[in-house]
Amino acid sequence: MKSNIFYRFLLAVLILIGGYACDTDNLIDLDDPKYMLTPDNADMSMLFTNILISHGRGSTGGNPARLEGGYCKYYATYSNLMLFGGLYQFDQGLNDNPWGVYTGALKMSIALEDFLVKKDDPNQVNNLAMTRIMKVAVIQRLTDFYGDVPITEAGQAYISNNMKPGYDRQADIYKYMLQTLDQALTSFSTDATVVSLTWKGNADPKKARDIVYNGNIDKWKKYGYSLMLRIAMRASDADAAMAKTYAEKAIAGGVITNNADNWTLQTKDGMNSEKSPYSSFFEGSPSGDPERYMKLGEYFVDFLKAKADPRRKVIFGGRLNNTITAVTASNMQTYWRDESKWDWDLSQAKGMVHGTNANPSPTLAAYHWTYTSPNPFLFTMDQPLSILTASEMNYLIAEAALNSWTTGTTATAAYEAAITASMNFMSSFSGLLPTQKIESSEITDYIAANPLGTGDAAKQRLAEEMWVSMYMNPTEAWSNVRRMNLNLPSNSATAQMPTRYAYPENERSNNLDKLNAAITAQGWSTSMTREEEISKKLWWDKN
Amino acid sequence: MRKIAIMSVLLLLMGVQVVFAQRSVTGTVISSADNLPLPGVSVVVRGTTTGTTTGVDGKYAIQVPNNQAVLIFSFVGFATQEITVGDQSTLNVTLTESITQMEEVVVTALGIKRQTKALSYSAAEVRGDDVQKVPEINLMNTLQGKIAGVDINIAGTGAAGSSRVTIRGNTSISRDNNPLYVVDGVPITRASSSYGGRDLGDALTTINPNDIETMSILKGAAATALYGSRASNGVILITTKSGTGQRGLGISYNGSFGFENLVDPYRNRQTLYGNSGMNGDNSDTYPSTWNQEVHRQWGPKYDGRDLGINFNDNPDIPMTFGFRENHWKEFMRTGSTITNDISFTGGGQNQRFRASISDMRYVSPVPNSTMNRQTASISINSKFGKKITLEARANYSTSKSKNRPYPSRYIQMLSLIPNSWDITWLKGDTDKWGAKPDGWMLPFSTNDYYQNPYWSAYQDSQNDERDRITANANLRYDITDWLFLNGRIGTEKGVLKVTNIDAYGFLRGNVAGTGAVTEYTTNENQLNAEYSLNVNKAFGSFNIIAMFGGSSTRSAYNRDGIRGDQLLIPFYHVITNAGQLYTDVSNSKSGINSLYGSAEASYKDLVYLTVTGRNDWFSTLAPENNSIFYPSVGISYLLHNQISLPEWWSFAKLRASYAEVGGGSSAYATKIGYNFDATGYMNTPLVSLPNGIANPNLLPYETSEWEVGADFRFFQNRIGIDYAYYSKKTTNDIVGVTLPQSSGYTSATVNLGAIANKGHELMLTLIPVTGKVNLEFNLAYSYNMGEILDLGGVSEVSAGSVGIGGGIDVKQIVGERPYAMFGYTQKKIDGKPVWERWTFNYAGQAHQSWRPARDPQKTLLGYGTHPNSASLTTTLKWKGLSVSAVIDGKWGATVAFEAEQEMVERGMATSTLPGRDGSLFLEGVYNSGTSSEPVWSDVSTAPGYTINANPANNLPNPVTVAGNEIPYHVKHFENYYREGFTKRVCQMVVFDADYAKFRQVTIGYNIPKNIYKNLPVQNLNVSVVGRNLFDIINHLPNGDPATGGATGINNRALPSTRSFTLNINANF
Repeated sequence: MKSNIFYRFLLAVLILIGGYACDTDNLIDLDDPKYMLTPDNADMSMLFTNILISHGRGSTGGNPARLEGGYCKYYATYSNLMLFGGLYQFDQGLNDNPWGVYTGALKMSIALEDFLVKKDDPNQVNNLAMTRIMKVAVIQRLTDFYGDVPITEAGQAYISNNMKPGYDRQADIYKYMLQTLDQALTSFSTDATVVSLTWKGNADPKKARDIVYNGNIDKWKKYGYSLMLRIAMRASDADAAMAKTYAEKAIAGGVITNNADNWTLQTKDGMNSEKSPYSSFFEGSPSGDPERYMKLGEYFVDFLKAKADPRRKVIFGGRLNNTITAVTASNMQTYWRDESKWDWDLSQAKGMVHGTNANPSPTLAAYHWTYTSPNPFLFTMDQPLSILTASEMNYLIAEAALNSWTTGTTATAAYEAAITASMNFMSSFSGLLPTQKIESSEITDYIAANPLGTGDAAKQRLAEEMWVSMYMNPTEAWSNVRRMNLNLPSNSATAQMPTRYAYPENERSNNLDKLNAAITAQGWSTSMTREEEISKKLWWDKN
Repeated sequence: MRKIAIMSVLLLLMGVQVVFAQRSVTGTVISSADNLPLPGVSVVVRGTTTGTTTGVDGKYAIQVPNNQAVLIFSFVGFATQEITVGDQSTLNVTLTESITQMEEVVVTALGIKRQTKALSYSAAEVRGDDVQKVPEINLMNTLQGKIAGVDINIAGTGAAGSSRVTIRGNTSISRDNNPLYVVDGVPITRASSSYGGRDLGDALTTINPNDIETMSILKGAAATALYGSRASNGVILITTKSGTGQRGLGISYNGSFGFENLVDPYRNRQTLYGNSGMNGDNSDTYPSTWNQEVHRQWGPKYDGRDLGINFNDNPDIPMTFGFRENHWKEFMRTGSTITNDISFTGGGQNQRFRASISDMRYVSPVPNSTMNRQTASISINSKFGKKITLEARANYSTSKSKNRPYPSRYIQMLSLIPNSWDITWLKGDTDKWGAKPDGWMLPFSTNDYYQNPYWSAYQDSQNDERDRITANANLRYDITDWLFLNGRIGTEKGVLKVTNIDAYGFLRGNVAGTGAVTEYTTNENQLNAEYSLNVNKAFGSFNIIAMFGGSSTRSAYNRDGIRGDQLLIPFYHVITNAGQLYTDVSNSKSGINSLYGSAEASYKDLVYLTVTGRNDWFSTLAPENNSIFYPSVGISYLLHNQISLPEWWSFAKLRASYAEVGGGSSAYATKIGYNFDATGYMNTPLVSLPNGIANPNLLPYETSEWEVGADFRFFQNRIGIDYAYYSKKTTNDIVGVTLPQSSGYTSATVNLGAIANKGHELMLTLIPVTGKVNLEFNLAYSYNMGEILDLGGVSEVSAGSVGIGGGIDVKQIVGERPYAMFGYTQKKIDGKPVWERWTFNYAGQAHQSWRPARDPQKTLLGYGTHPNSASLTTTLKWKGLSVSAVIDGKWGATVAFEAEQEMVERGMATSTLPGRDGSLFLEGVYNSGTSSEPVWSDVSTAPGYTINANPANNLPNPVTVAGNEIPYHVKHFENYYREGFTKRVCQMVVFDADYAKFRQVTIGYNIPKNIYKNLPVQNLNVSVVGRNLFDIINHLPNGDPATGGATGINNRALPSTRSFTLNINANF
C-alpha cells in the first residue's frame, strides 16, 4: 500500500523531469533579459542628447587648453602640465585623446543614423537631419586634428562586422561632409506631424532632449549652414571652386550671425562631468601642485594690450597680491575666485614667457605675483562652452566677401559685426564681475581704431581678430591659425608649431595595416618619428 | 520539506520502533590504529540491499536472514572486511586502515559510488575529519597543498573571503577557473562577490565543516565528463553526513577555540630615519607642523628629540622624533574563532536521521570586523518496504558579517603614517574613533585624500547578511536486485544583503564629504532535477554497471540595489536621508537540459572499461547551436591479477582515459545592452552604447584531456606510489579581442582561444613503522605547465597591469606560459648598470639627479603561476596520541608586490637606506657621448656622480645644461629611490615568489575511557592545531607570497595570520 503510493509518486516525478529535459521552448524563454536596455526599448532621443553633450564637451576634458591653448599662445606655464603645448612637445596621451570620439560621439551618431535609416519612418526626417548634422560636426573636428581618418568604414563593428576600418582621404571627407550637410539641410520638414515628433527641449530637465536648440528647426538649419560655411572656408585654399559653391550656398541658406543662435553647451557647478572642462582644469585640485596654475601667454597679453582691446577686461585675470606668501594647492583653491586676493590692474598685466620649463620667477609665490592668470570668472562653472558662434561666422562671411564671393553683405560690415558679436558674447557671461563688462562705446572705439583694411592686410587683420575672438575655442582657433598662416612667434628655438596630431597608439596596436596604407597614401614614411608626423600638413593647409 | 521535518521530529521524540522479522546481529566496529569506535562504517548483507551504518559509538544493529549471511564492513580509508555471521549474535570487527585499499568505494560524478580500482582516472578523497579541526572559515583553504594537482590560493582578503581553486592549471585564458562544487549531488552556485574593495566571500563559507562526510576531488576531464558543460575546471563533490543505524540517540559535540595573530609582514622596515619637514627637501629639516609631509620617511635620523609640536595641535600629545612600534601590530588585534557544534543521530535499520546545529563566532584580527555563522542541517534515510529508499537533506546557514576587511586601504594608509607616531593617536580624543570633536574625520596629513585608518575601520562600514538554504531529496526504487530507478530534486536559495556606508565627514569620499549609503540584495536560486535508470548485472565473468538519465538545471540571479549620496542630515547614515538616489537592479536566468549515460564493463577483476556521454542544451546559446555532446572513455587494468609479481609487490594498476568537457557560457552574453544613465548630464538622462560587442554566436569553450596513470603498492601497502600524467587542451576558448577604436568598439568576445596544460601528479606514501607506533609520510607533488596556443589571431591579450616599478604588465601571449609578466629593467652595458642624468622641478627650481637608464622595451620578468607545488605530511600515532605536521611550498613564479612599492616610495623599506648617512656612490656606466654616438664611461668619472644626502657633505659642482647652470639637488636620494626605482624600473618591487611554509601541526589525543568512565561520555578527543607557523623560504622582504592570488600581481593583500586552535570532540 505504502510502496504503491511512492511508486506512483516516483513515476510522476520521473515523467515530470523527463518532460522538462526535452522542453527547449522553456529554455529559449529563459534568455529574455528583464532589465537590459536593448535597441528595441531604448529611447533614442536620449542617445541624441548624449551626442550633443559629448560634442559640446569635446571628449577631450579641457585638453584644448593644454595643447592648442599653448600652440595659439593663449596660455603658458613652466609646469609639466602644459609643457607639451608650450614647447610643442609630443605627448602620447594628449595626442590620442581626440580619437576617443570613435567610441563616443561619432559612434553614437553613426549608430543613431543607422537606427533611424533602418526604421525608415518619414516622420523622423528632422531627427535624422539633426543627427547627420551632428555627425558632420564630430567628423570635422576629428579630421582637422588628424587629416585622413576612417569615416566611411568607421564605427561599423556592430553594424556590418567591419572590425578594421580603412581610411578616407581628407579631400573626400570634406566633400562627404558638405554633401551630407546639403542633403540633411534640404530634408528638414515643417509638416506638422514631423515637427511634433522632432526631439525637443523640455522645461522638465528630466525629459530634456535637444538641450541646445530646444527642437527649433530654424536654429538647426542655421547651425547646419554655419558648419557648411566653416568647412567650405577651411577648404578654400585646397579646393577653391568647391569652397565657393558651398560657402555661397551656406550664406544664402542662412548662417548664425546673432549670438542668440550660437551653438553652446551649458555647464554647471556640480559633478566633474558637469563642470566646465576649462574651469576644473584652471582651478587645479586641492591636493595638486600649486605651481600647476596656467598663466596667460606673454605674446597674447602684449597683443591685447597693444591694441587696447576691451576684451582684456574679460580675458585677463589678476596677479596674486604680493602680500600673500602661503601658496599651497589648497590655498590656491580658495584664492582662485576670491576677488580680493588678486591685483586687477590691467596696465600691470604681464603674460608668462613661452617655452620654458623652469620658473622664471625665483619662487613659487613670485610666479603667482608676477604673471596674469586667466580670468577665473570667465570660467565659472555655469558658463556655456562656445562651440560655434556668430562672430566666427561673421568673420568667415567677411573673408568670403574679400574673395569676392556672393555674400549679400560687405567685408567691412561683416568684420564689424563679427567684432561686435565677439565682444558682446564674452561680455554676456553671467559670472563676470561688474567691472569686467564691455561697454558698447568701447566696441565702437575699438572698431574705429582697428579698421579691416584691404587686400592682404585685410586678410591678416581677419586672421588676428579670429585668433583673439576664438580664445574660448582653442581647437578651432588653432585650425584658423594654421589655415590663415597667422604669424605667431614660435614657442621654441628648435621646433615649429605642430600642424596636426599624430595617429594614436590604439590604431598602431590594433589597425596597423590600414593605418600604414593611409600614411603611405599621403606620401609619408611609416618609419617617421611622432615629432616628424606632427609637423606634416593637412590637405587643406596649403600655406 | 515540512513532512520531512515533522517526521524527523517524531522520530526524535519516540525513538524508532521497528518490528524485527529476522534475526538480529549487533556489534561494535573499531579501528586497528587506536582501538577507538569507528562511526559511519557501512554494514551490508551481501547480495541484498539490506544495510546500515555504525553510530558515533561504532555500534551497529542489523537483521540477517540466516547463519550463512555475509556482512560486508566498509569505510573510506579502511580495508573492507567480509564476515560470515554463523551463529553469533554479537559481531565485533576491527578495521585496518589502508592507504587506498582497492575495495574502497569513492563518490564519483553524479554521486555514483564506484570502486577505486575501477577508476580510469586519478581521484582524491578527503575525509571530513581532515577539514573539521582546521579553523578555516572557507572550507577550501583547509586543503591547501594536500592534493596533487589542486592549487588553492589564499585570497588575501581575510579569513571569510572567497576561495580560489585551480585544478590542473588554468583551463581558460580569461574565465574564472574555479571548479564546480556539488553538494549531495546538487551543483551549487559558488559565485563570489565583492563590493567597495571588500570580499564578501562565497557559498563555501556557509558550509559547516562538521557536516561533511567526504569530499571527492575529480581532477581530470574523464572524472568530470558526466557534468558536461560545467566540468572543464574539475569538480569537487561534497557529501554531507547522514544518519547511522544506531539504536537510540547518539549525540556528538565538537567545540573549537582558536586565536589568530598577524604575522608581521614588515620584516624589513627601516627604523633609523623619520619624515622631514618638506617634500623632497633638506634632510635636516625636522617637521615643523604635525601633519607636514608625513608620508615621506626621507628626513633626519631619529634622535628622540622633542619636536615642539603636538599631534593635531593637542597639547596632551607632544611629538618626539623617535621610532615607535610598528603600526600593523598596534592597529590589528588578536582574532578568535569559537565554534560549537552538536549533532544527533539515531534511527534503526529502516529509518535513520541526523540533525546538527552549529554556531561559529569569528573575531577578525582587523579591528571592528566580525562574522557569526549559524548552521542547521537535517538528513533522513528511510526505507519503505524492500524497494523504496528515500534520502532527504536540508541545510540552512545564516551568517552576519560586520566590516569585512578592506585590505588595499589599510595597507596604503598604514604605510603612510610615520613611524615616529603612535598610531593610536589617530583614534582621536572623542568617543567616535578616527573623528574630530565636530564628527568629521581626523586627518593625519595635509593631503585630505588620505583616510584615517580608524575611520576606515569604525566609521566607514559594510555589513552583510548571507542566508543559504539547500535541500534535496533522492528517491530510489529497486525494480529488481539488478535494476533501480533514481530520482533527485535539489534546490538552493542564497540571499545576500549588503549595507555599505561611506561615512559622512570624509572630505574626499564623495561630493563634499556628505557621505553615501548603498543597500542591495542579491538572490540566487537554483533548481536541479535529475533521474536515472541504473543497472548492475553480472554475465559470467563479465559485469555491467550502467546508468541512463537526464537532468534539468535552472538558475536565476536577481539584484535589487539602491545607492544614495549627499546625505541631508549629517552623520545620519540611512538611505532615506540621501539627497540623491541611484538604482542598481539586474537579473538573469539561465538553464541547461541534459541527457546522459554511462556504462562500466569489467572482466573478472582484471579490466574495467568505462564509457560516458552527456548532451547539454543551453538557454544561453542561440537555438541553432545550443546542443553540445561530451563523451569520455577510460580503462583500468589490474596487472597484479594477471601476471604474478614478486611477493613484495602487492598491487599494480594501470589506467588511461580520454574525455571532452566544456565550460563558461554566461547569460545574455549574446545580447547587446545599451547603457542608461538616469542622472545623466545636469539631470538630463542619457543613453550610450557599450564598448564591447555582443557575440550571438558565442559557444562554451571545450576541453579535451587524456590521462594515464599507475598505482603501485609494495610491502603490503607500506609503500604506495600513485602517479598521473595528463595533457589537456582547451579550444574555442572565450577570448576578449581588442578592436581599434575606429571600429566604434574596443573589444569583442570570440571563441578563438586555445590553451594547453600538461602535468605530472605524484602521491607517495611511506609507512616505515607500523604496529603500536604508526609513522606515515605522505608526499603530494604536482607539476603543471600551461601554454597559450592561440588568442584568436592576436599575439597577446592583457591579463592585468599595475603601476609600480614604472608599470608592470601581465599578459597572455601565444607560445608562452599563462600570466607572463613584463616590466622595465635597468639597462646594462657589458653587464654594468647604466645611469642617466635627469632634471626635475622642485619649488620652481630645476635640479639634477641620477636615475637608472632603462631598456626601452619592457622585458619578460617571469610568470605569475607556480608550475611546481608540493606538500609533505608526517603523521605519528601512538596509542591515543597522534601528531602530524604539514610542510608545503610552491616554486617557479614571480610576483610584483604592490605593498613593497609603498614601502620604497615612502622611504620605509630598509632597501632605501643606502646613501642616507652620506653619499650614495653609483656603480656602473653613463653615456658621456651623445645619444646617437654613445660613449660609455664609468659613472664615477662623471661630474656629481654621487647622490648626496647631506648638505654638510661636499656638494658636487653645478652642471651646465643647455646654457643654464643647474645645481644638483641636495636631497637626491629620495628622487633616486622614489622616482628612479619605483617609477622607472621594477627591480625593487618584483620578486621570486617561491616559498615553503611550515603550514600546520596537529596534536591529537584520545583521552582514555577510564578517566571518564563515570560520565555518560563514550569517547573524548582533544586536539591542538597550529596553522601557518613559520616561513621556511620567502623571498619577499615585506610580505607573504602565499597570499594574494596567482596572476603575478599582488595588489595589497591582507598580511597573513598565524593561528592556534583547541578542538574538543565528545560522543555521548
